Amino acid sequence: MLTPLLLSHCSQSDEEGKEDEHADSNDPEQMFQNIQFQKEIIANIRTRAWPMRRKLKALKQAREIVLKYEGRLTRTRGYQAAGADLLKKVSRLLYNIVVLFIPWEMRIKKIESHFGSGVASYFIFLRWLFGINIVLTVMTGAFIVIPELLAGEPFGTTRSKTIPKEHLASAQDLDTIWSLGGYLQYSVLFYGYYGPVRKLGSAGYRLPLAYFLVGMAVFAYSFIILLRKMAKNSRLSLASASDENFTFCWRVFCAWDYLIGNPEAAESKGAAIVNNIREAIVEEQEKKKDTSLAVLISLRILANILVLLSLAGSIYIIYFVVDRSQKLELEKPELTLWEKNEVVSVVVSLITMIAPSAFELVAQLEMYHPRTSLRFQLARVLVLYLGNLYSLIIALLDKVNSMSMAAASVVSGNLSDSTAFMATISQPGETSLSTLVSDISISENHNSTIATIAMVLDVNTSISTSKVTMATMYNHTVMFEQNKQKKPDECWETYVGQEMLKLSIIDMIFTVASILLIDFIRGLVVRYLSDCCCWDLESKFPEYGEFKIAENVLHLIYNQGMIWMGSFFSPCLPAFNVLKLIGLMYLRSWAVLTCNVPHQQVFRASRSNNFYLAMLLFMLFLCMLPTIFAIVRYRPSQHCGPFSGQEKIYDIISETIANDFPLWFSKVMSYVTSPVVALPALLLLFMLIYYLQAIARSLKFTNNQLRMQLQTVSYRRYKVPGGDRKPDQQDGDITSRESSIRTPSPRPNGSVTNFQSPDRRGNGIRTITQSASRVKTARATFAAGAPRSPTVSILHNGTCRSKSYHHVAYNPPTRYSSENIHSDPLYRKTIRPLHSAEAAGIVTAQSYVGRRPYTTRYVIVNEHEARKKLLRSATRVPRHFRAEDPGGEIVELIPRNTKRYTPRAPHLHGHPHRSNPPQSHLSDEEEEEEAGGKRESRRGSFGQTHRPRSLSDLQQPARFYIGERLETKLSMASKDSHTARGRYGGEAQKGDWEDMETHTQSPARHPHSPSRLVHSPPQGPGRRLEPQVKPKTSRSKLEPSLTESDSASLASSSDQQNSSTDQYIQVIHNKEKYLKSEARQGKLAKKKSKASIDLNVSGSKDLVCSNV
Amino acid sequence: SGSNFSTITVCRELHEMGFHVSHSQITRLYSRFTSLDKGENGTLSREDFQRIPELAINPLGDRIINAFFPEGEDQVNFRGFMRTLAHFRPIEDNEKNKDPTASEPLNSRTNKLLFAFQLYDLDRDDKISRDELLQVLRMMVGVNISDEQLGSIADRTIQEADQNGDNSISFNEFIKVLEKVDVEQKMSIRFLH
Repeated sequence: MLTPLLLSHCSQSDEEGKEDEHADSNDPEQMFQNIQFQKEIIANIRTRAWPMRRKLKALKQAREIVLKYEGRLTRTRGYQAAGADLLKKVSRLLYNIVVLFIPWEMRIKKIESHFGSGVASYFIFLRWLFGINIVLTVMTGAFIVIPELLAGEPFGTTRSKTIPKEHLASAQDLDTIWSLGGYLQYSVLFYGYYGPVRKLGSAGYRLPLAYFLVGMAVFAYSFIILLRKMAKNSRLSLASASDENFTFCWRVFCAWDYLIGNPEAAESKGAAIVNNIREAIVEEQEKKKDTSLAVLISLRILANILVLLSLAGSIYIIYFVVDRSQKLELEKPELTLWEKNEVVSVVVSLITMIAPSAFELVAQLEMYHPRTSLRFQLARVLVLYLGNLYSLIIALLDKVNSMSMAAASVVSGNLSDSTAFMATISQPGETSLSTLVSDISISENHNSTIATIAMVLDVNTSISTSKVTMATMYNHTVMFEQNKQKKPDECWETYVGQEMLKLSIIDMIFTVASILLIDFIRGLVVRYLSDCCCWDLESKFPEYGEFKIAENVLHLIYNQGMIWMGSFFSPCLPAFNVLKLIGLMYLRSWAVLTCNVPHQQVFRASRSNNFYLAMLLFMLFLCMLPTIFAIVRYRPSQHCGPFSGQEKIYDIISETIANDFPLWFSKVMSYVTSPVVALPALLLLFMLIYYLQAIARSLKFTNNQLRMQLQTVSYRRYKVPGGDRKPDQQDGDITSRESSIRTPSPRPNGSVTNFQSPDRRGNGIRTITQSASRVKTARATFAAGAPRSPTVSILHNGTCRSKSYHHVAYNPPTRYSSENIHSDPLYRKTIRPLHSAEAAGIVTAQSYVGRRPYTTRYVIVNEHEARKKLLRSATRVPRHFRAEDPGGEIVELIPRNTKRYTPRAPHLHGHPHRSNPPQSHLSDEEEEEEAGGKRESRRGSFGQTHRPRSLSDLQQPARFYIGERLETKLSMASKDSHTARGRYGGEAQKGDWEDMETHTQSPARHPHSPSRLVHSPPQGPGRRLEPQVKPKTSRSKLEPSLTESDSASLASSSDQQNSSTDQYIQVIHNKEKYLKSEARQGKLAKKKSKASIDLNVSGSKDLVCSNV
Repeated sequence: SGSNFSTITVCRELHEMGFHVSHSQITRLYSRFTSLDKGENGTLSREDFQRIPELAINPLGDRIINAFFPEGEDQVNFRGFMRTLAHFRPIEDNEKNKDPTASEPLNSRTNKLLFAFQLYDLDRDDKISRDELLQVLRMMVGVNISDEQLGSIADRTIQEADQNGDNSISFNEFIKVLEKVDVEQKMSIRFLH
């Protein structure tokens, strides 16, 4: 029965087709596809350029198949397929729509195209923060603010929700609103507004509990989302790492998007390409940069010292002004908070303006890559900002401390049955004494403590009232005076919230102002005044502003830190921040596009940049600390907020557990929280962390290995350019084999040669480590595709043999002359022309070889050439060839059945093996080989190819030169062979070296005992023969020249040859370039090579010693 | 008027190229051809191509337009139009296991790459020289980058791709460079389906 495949010109796949069809009938999926295919044929048959008869025939068959099989499929199947198609289309459409809705995507892309990925990374970060704040807003809004608004007691009903009468008049003053007092203070914006009712409304919403839990959840969510993002980023960077190949070529050839039809998009793309190329230039310059190390290090040390000094200086200044302002508060209590803090804020903002620029200057000393220096800059400015923030935090906590202590002392005063509490305070700066009299009337109800504090100033009373309280009340005065305008019922949480919100607002104003002033006005001035100025404003002094990534990113982080810090005390802070970020996004992007110029040095910032996130995480931690500290340390205000009346804020949890959960739960909780459980749990966590860490490490290792393998495989896959490669049957097989083969993973350091030949006989893995003097790193892994590698098993049959073999292969400098032949990529070029030069002698060999697809291939990855080239070569010689090396310089390839006399062979490194056929050894090997062959033939990968039996056409001996001699020959050759071949030549050359080594070494070891040389012959000559074998097939097919006895069993072992596995050699080459002149040296090298070979012989002796 | 004739002959011709298209697809392309043909003389001129916005704004647009015109001619008929477009036909699955003896279709990976290569190879000497590369770069980046910087980029590009040390990029080297690029996918237009 004819098949669909026949229809598509696949004449020879008739049988396959039948098989396919047979399989089809069982698998509904394939059957369905088959039917679809047939239908397609029916639809398109008219357009085929076939004779009518054939068309009719094909049509009939297709119809038959459809009729026959269609019934077997259910109708739903068809619907399913159609549905899947539809789903795919819809999902794509949806995806496109979703992309449309990614906020500011277009804006960011536009910025990226003009300003590079560095600037874009700021906006992406901003957008990400925006997302986080949205979630935080939803959390606080949904669980705190809205329930309070809906079910909480309305404004003005309770004391904490009423503006005190004395402030009512000024509640709508701009001044009050500006300082977030008045109506704003008594609103949902702040902690104090929320009621302490345990169950709210008819539904019994537990607002205090929710308040606490949401406050914690804000931190928890931020932590989780940050860590997840970081993990994702590191995964991304792991996946996208490497692949630095052909960066420039890709940038040049693949830059343009040919689908762009919109002029604006084209402009953006053009700008992006320019940026891309500039980034590449920067990267390149950074790579090239080489100043002397000592100078560089000393410069960097100097820079760091400078930075440390300026940091210390600025922190001291901040400390100094904060201290001064605190003193000022004491001395001049009539000043408002703003006036007192004026100096501090001016100084702080001055420092934050000047110091980053100073750091930038210092960073130029260091001469880091722009990306690295950006990070340094970020870290330094972060420290600066932290100093700033923490000075504020400490001041705040100080006040909070005093407030809660006041509250505490109120309570203690109450307990010590004093109804009136008077404190007298001496003001050191003034002679008059100010006495603070606090009248506190406290109702017995603990929950609604009402404290009235009256402050009496300028009252001269005796100092002796109470000296002890004076000291404690020292701070209180400060606090009380600050809040003179406020109600005496203090609510420190609200105060903190107010401060944070104020800070955030001021920060926003400053940002807007600085954008307008520094960027916009400056841009305007530079743009329009440059004509009427004596120097060029645009290129000289003011210039246009650059977008400072470091400062801006840090500003975002700082801003977010304030939000985290204040969100517990001011639940609407995240909502405010969302608005702020939106405004910032539009303002910044507008400013960037209108007033800024791209940075001088555009550099690539990776999307998966964890550095910003790490800083943000650091910030989050630092901002969480004071909040947690305040929650844990201080007593909540007694008459405002959801936790009023509790000893500690977190008591709400234990209270809820005690009251609202069943008894057993609280019991369980008490067990769980007891050290008996907690300690082991902690231990377990530690163990888990360690375990996971270990796993992560090993996975990383494996990852690297796999990546190496992938690279090698993909190189091999594309190795042969499609143009000069004839698609023949073996290709597919080879590729499939290749992919199944282990590839070596090169190590940057350490000259390790690894050979793995996992074959059936359990030769296992032999690892030979040796240090080559000139080949810095050479690690080659021979991975013989395990079971079907009889040839490999021959090669590696004896450990000692393989050892010597590899040894030789990878230690060229010890034996060869000073040229490092192995490692030279240029060398290939010189070898290329070989074929034509030798053509006369090789013709037969070529044609012969062309028929044999079965060889052991050595893939040599040339690390030195940036892993670009993966070479593959055949390593085996046809069996009936023998290598001969009569002069020490010439290797001759002789058909086995040709009697050729080689007088000098035995005592040179030629092939003593030939004179002494090691029958006994080889017979074993052959058996194995044959067994392997049978195994292989059973597998039947491609048994059609045969080894030619007739050797008569090989009479003409092929001459080969090795070493420099070879090159001589090569250089004489014509140039018609193309690069690919050249590559193979080079590769083959390597093979040559290897086997030549084998030859040289063996005699060296046992100068006059040829019987010991058994091992080397099989692989030796084969490899040497490669170059000539290449020309036609672009892949050499050679076999090892075995001994005469072997040639008798040609037929039986031919299959085995098919199955020979690929072997990979990965060589990391010596950095030292092989001299180009080497190729030109031509004939002069003759003598040299001779000498060098002699050298080798002696060298190998040493080697033997070390080896044994 | 000549539409029928053209369609049929072109259809046959395309079949000879191993290029299976349906009648309707040819008709669609022909209508596109005629809509581009402002002179209505059955051939397209360079100006006709330059009216296509995608080509007009493409820095390499002129090169692409050039690819439509055989050496020394400045008009292209429908047949030539189709032959150039054939490079961009997607490679279909059932074509991959085709008869190996058949000549390579125009839309094979190699031919697609060759098409791209010739965009850069101005003097058609089968090599992309440094000067040619510089021209391309200049077209793409305009005046934004200095000459010496562009020169160093071109040098680096050649250095990366060059394997035989002739300071230019041959087609084989070009293939090697782009071996990881999904050319089959990227240089395909689904205009025929």
